[in-house]
Amino acid sequence: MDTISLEPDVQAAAPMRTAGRPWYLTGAVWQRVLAAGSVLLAWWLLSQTFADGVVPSPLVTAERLWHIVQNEDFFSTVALTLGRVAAGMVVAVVAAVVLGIAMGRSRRIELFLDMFILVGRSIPGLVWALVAVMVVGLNNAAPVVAVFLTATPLVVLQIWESTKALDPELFNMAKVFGVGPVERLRRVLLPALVPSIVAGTKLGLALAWQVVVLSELFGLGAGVGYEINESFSNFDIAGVLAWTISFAAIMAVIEYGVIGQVQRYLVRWRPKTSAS
Amino acid sequence: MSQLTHDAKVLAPTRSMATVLEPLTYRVAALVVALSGWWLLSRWIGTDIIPGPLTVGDRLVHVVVHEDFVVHMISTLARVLVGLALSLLVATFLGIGMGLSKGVERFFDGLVLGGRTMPGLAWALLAVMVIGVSGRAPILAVVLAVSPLLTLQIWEGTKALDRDLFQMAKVFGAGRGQQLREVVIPAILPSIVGGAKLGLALSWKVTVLAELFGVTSGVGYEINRNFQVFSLDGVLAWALLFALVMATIEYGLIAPLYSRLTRWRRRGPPLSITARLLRQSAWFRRVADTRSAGPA
Amino acid sequence: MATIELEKLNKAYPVKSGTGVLQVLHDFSLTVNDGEVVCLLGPSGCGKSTTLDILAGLTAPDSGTVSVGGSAGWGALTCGYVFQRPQLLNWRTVRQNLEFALAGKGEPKKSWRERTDEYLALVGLADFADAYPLSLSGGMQQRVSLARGLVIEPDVLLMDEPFSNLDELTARRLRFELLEIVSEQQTTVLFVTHNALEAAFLGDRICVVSPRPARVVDEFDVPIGRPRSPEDVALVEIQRRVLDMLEPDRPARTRLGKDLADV
Repeated sequence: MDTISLEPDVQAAAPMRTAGRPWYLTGAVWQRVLAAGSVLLAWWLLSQTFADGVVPSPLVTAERLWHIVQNEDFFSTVALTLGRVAAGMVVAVVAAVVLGIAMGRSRRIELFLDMFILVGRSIPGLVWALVAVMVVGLNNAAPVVAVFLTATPLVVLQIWESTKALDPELFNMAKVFGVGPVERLRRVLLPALVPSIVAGTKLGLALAWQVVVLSELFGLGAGVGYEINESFSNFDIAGVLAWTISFAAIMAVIEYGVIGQVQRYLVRWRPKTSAS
Repeated sequence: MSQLTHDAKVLAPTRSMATVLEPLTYRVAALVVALSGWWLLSRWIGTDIIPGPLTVGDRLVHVVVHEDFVVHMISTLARVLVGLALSLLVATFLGIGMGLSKGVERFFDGLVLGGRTMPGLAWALLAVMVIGVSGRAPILAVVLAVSPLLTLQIWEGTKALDRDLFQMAKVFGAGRGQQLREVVIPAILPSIVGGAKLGLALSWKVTVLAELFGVTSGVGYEINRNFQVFSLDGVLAWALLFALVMATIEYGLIAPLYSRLTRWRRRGPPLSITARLLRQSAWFRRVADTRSAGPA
Repeated sequence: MATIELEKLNKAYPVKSGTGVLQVLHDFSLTVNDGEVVCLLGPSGCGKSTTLDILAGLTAPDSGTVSVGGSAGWGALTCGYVFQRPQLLNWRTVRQNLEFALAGKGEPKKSWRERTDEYLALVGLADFADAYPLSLSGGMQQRVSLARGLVIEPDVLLMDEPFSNLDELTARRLRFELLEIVSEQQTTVLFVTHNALEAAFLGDRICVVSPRPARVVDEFDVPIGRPRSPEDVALVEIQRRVLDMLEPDRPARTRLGKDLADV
């Protein structure tokens, strides 16, 4: 076995930091700086070839971004949209936990509902956003309904599958030790499902914020989607870019930073074999 | 280890009438409940706000017969497929390059992951603004949105290639052509087709979005038109029909192709009946027993 | 004539962390006569696999010469290799995996069917020709790998601990099968193992290899006639000789066998 590890190991990913050198001097970092540089250069060249600022240069976009963050009630707008995302996700996750566990534990409920989950998952958020705006009207409930309709099937799928994958021996063990049904749910089922609930939330969130932005775009009077639509209507590409990039960045931080950390903490008892 | 459990699966009894009928009963019941729930809801809230299932059904037929469904469908489908094909082309080169070369990987990984985080909506808006009201805007949007996703798939597929197999091929005298045909392509193909499956789902959503904002034909345009005149039955009818066509393509075309390409991953068949019986024979049982008994 | 001569091989690998090198082979010399089964026996990680890789042309030595059949390189002679892991193309059927090797050797297509049938029958897999490797157990996969090494009827068969990942029952059966086929075809075999009993059972000659850098520290013919029995006490005797060489000051407790033999 050892002889194999003597071979130059091509298969394993190279370590991010080569020993002996500070991290900022390694090839990996320089190559990434080069990559970022060439993207900016390509963007700039593109902006130069189009006439009349159809494509704003990176600098113009950055300026616009700075301007937005500084002046236009950026934080209250973002907070409004985030609040809608959060409200929708809370409803979706609660519904998904109930439905997912029920479907995983009962074959009848599973047979009754699986069709709706699978079909619901393949209907795009765009359609739900339109339907929600048309049915619920132009108020705060519309994006929440849209998120609920879009994200629930996705989160249910995660919880349903991992409930089914749970080891039935674990329940038998709990029964043998005389643990009642409520305690079984609280101490065996829910803890075992927490990783998949978080994973489902992460997946759902990626959809949810796009659906909220879409429904804001279709007629709500405020929020990030509204601002994007305003810029779009005024043919202000820099504005569209600045709003999208800043909000995508905030969501990426929430998704990978906050939820990713929670996820890593929750599955700390698992051996480190599979990534995320 | 899995010898015994696996055999149990192979020799599972064929499905009886009851096991086929029971799910069917539940599904039909579910459908009936859903449709009547919808109907009641539309009655309760008002048919002008939520059209009933019959109204939407009527509109569905009307869309197919009188509203140039085929024309719009074909133009949308063409955009989806051209966009997807271009993305596949980009992603195949990029993904294989990133999988094989560390330098290429470091250059593009940030881009690919970043591109993955940008929502389809952003790409759709950008494409419409840069290209203008034209059929090319959805195609550009698809390429921008889908390429990172596909690249990610193919990149990972290439990285998972077992390099020891190349050594094996070399020892047994396989030339470059034989290595490509027998080792590289069959190993990567599932991730390309699997990526195409994911990519298709994303590309039709992005296409419809881009059509909604900046094209005067296609399903997205029709959905938007119906939204503007506040016709929910029109929005639903168009969306349902389109989802139906895309599901047909996904489950009827890509899924069978994928399962054909990956049939070697499935354990079990194709084995001849003699082979199955042989597995049950005493010798194999003994081997399996000693294995499952051991701690390792 | 497939006589193998390895002459003063040297091989060092750069160490990942730091600037040093790891000397794996140092003036490693070995001769395997035509039709002989030689077992290369030594502790894990001593460079045995590297030797096989150099011989097969997968790795270039830093210095030294490899000659097969009296001339450098393989020339028209062919080499079969059975790896420690099966190394099968999982997306090809068992038969196609064997055909892969036949195509590499350039055998005419007409003979493929017959040849694959013959060797699959030899390893007891005739009924699994159209199965995919992942549907087989580990032992069966290793037998496919063995059949692939044999189907090209190689002049030299290289084997790198091919049975070490198998359960003992399967390994024992495969050793019998291997000996039968090899003696019938007069194949030259270089068999790498860390299992002294296995080496004693299979080998005409055993070369004991020291830990890194590898060199042959003891070399002797196995004085047991064929056919051999895996239960023969003489095999244990040989195991003790090897252990005395590799681990002379091992605790007395583990030498119990010797004391018993003395009684």
